[in-house]
Amino acid sequence: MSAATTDKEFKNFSRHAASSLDGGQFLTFSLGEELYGVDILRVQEIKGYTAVTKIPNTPPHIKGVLNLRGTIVPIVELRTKFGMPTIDYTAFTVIIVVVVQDKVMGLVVDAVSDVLDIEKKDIQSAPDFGNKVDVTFLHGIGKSGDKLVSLLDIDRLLLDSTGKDSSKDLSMAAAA
Amino acid sequence: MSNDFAQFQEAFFEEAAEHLAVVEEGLLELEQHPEDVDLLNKIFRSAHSIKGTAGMFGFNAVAQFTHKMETLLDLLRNRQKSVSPSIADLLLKATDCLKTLIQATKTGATIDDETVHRLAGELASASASDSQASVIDVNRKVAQSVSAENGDGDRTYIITWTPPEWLFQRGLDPLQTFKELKSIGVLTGITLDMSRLPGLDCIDPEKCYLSWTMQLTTGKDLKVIESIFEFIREDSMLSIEPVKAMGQEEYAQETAAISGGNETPKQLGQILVEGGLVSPGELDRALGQQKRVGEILVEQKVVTQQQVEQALQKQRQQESVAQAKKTDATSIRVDTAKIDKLINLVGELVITQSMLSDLGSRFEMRQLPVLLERMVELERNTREIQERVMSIRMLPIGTAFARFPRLVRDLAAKTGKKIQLILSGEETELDKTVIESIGDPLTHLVRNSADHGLEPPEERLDNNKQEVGTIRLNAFHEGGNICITVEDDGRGLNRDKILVKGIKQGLISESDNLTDEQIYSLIFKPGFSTAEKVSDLSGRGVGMDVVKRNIEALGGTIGIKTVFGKGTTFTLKLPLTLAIIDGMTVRVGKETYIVPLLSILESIQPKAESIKTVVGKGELINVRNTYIPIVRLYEVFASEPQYTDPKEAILLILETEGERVAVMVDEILGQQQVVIKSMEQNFHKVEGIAGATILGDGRVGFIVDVRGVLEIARHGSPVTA
Amino acid sequence: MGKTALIVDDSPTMRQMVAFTLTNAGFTVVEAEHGKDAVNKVAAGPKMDIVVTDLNMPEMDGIALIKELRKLNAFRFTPILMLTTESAAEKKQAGKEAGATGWIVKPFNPEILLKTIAKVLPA
Repeated sequence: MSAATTDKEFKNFSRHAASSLDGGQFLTFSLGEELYGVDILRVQEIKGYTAVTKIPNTPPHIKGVLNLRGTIVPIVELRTKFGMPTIDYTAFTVIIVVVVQDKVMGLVVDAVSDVLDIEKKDIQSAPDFGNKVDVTFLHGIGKSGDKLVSLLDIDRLLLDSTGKDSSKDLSMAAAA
Repeated sequence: MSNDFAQFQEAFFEEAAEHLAVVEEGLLELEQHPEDVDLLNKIFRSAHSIKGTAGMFGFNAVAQFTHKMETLLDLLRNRQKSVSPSIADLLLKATDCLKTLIQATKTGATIDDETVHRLAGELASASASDSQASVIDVNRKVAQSVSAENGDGDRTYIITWTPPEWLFQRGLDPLQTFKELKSIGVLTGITLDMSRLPGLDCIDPEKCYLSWTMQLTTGKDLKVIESIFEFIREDSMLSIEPVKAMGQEEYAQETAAISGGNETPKQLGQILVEGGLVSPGELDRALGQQKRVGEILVEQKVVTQQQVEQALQKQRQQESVAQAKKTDATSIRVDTAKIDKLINLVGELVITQSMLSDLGSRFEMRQLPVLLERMVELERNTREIQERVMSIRMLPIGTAFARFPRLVRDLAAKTGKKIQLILSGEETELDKTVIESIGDPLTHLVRNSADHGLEPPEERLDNNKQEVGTIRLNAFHEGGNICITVEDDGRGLNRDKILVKGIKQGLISESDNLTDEQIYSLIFKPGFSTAEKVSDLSGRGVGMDVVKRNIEALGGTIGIKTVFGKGTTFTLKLPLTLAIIDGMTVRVGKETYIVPLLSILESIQPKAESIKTVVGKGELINVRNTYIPIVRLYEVFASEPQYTDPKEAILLILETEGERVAVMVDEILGQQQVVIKSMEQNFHKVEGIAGATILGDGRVGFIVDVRGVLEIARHGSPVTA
Repeated sequence: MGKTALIVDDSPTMRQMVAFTLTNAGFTVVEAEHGKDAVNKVAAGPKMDIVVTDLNMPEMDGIALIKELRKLNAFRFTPILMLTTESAAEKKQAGKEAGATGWIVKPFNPEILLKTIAKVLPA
């Protein structure tokens, strides 16, 4: 078991250094009509939505915390985080549990769709919309057939959502 | 092979730290009692242990350095040298250096070679004059063993062996020797010589009267055969004679094989010292001037500077990889008795569990009393296991106190004050993590007492005080807490000056009617005395806010008692463990919170007439003629309550840092012990919440941080939605 | 198989290392912190097949322990190995006089430890 963990950690580590712009496998999920992707190596598990405990005095995109086999895991609602309108949760609503370095976080999304292979040549950097659209949390956008997948910068997202001082954490992430 | 031991490295580092503490403490005590042989023996043993164990892991730098200390300590304990202040000082410095060396070995950091060599040299020269004899001794022994090994190897040997009579009394058995000889070759022609056997009437069955002659044909060399007799050779009459001569070439190969054998090659310097050609002092001086291999090679134009750089680069890479592999795991040493007890308890638990599942598989209502009885048993069992498991993490606080004799000694020397340190309650046990975290705050308090609390000797004499100031550290259990006091008999805090300063800094207003306690606690405010120096409490406030924060982060409190001119006492109150607290589970709307039981004074269902308001909004409750401010928990946590009218709700009267507050909740659900889970692990600290826990239904519940709640109620939440 | 070893060392790390090696080799291991502890433990406990003891220890050192053990009937002929840092002749001599069967010089590796034990332990 420990060997497997080490292997996984190693992959995570090497991934981290390479960044998802290099292409690879992505778990895709939907928010409304849009398709998003996260680096599959960052995904720890996918679980159905269960009620969370709300954390007092936190921004609305922090849904609360969940007991995941004894660890307290914060849950972020991506719709709220991205400023999209909230919808009622359905049977498809899932929590994608992701790991960044040692931290674990859950993302509430409308539904998971697929695991896609996206090659480096099919990935372009996030377009600049100026102030109109905030693309801070995107690594880039990828093509797979006729689908367009926004690739999430999970480090930035996690540190920004769960770090206390996001500006400091970001600079640390950039230095790493 | 030796890698099998590598897994114990972590244990070594922990043990070494303990030994270092013993050495340091001992050396400090030695300054007072230079004649104490028991003490010297104790110090020697610790150094010796470090050396021996470090060697096991191939930590040669540590082993060699400790060996130098040990040599000097050995001379001291054997009274061949006496303890002088300069020697004590040297040994203390060496201890510091050893500490760094061990730390560096642990983390793989680079070491300040110069200091190590310098101190090693000083240690060597401090022991030099006396150690000459032993060097010669080694020399002689080396010569002896060389001549003994000088026979030329052959394939067949004739061995004649007469073991000493008392062979059996040392637990030796000739049979073992024969077995071993057989294992390395073919043993033939064993002849038993019984000529020395006395008559049956005077035979002592515990004595060995026998001799043997035998022929051994083996591919191994003489050294191996001799090693079979290792434990007995010097006491036996033994001859091992080769029968057939061997070719010169073969012999040369064999010799080469011997010198390239299992033992690690000695370093040049070591061989020179052992050979008596140079003294250890000379060697150390030479080592001190030694150039690095790279430099020498470049000078001799064997390699270019660039090649050396590349090689160094490679070395660094290897080092950093090696360092990355090192885990930062911590471990705890546990008395086996504690574990045995725990195993018994778990055994009981298993039995209870099987009885319960048996009962459950064919349950009938009439068995209810039996079920309840079993449940009680299960509860008792669980509680006991929990207590035992907790006790495993408990260590005596003495480990945290250990650093203070040295600190106080150094502070006294630096400030020119005379200070005696009195420690008591060192055996008081508390959680390992708490012990590790209180070191720094305690150091700060002791430093403060020495720097600012105690007066210089002249001033003390002028005030009819004893010339020597006293700092007293004490630890004791009180309720579910541990109390640690740091007490000095110095000048005490000046109430009026603090008051004036507090007003000046805008921390309080002149109209405030403050108790002494409230005034003194001003020194815990951030930046209190940094702005200006007040002569008799200069710097006293610097960092006190940090101390307070650290203590509170541990779930503890800090209080001051002071009498002007007489002294100051700081009292730290800490939880015994950080892992579990006794809590009251309360409900607010749909949410469940846990309030630490320690902070709860009482709970009341208020009557309408006991609630008053001030300035229209501030609510107060009259509890036995004291008005206590009401804080509505749902407001603080911005949640939906069931009741908004205090008369329907429950008020918990809580105490935090001497202040009382009535916290309003919907309902009290019960009392239970909860395991504290970190919020910081995956998230960050949330104001008003001390941590999280898993409730009986698997959901997450928050543990209320009473102080934090009070702060939010007063100043609003730092993060608003 | 099924042999019992008494390990006496005030260093828990050393004790752990020796115990680990011997347990893996099929021994039942009894540990003691120092001579006195060892004497107490053997007073009531099972018979030992071999004793491995450190020399420098508080309370009762290795030499004194060996002497004590040799006084006991159950230990008159039991192999006793001492762990020593120096290969110094005086140490060995003192051990031999006290009744030590043999010695192992630190540092050693598991192989040397087991080999030395095999040397003195009747099968």
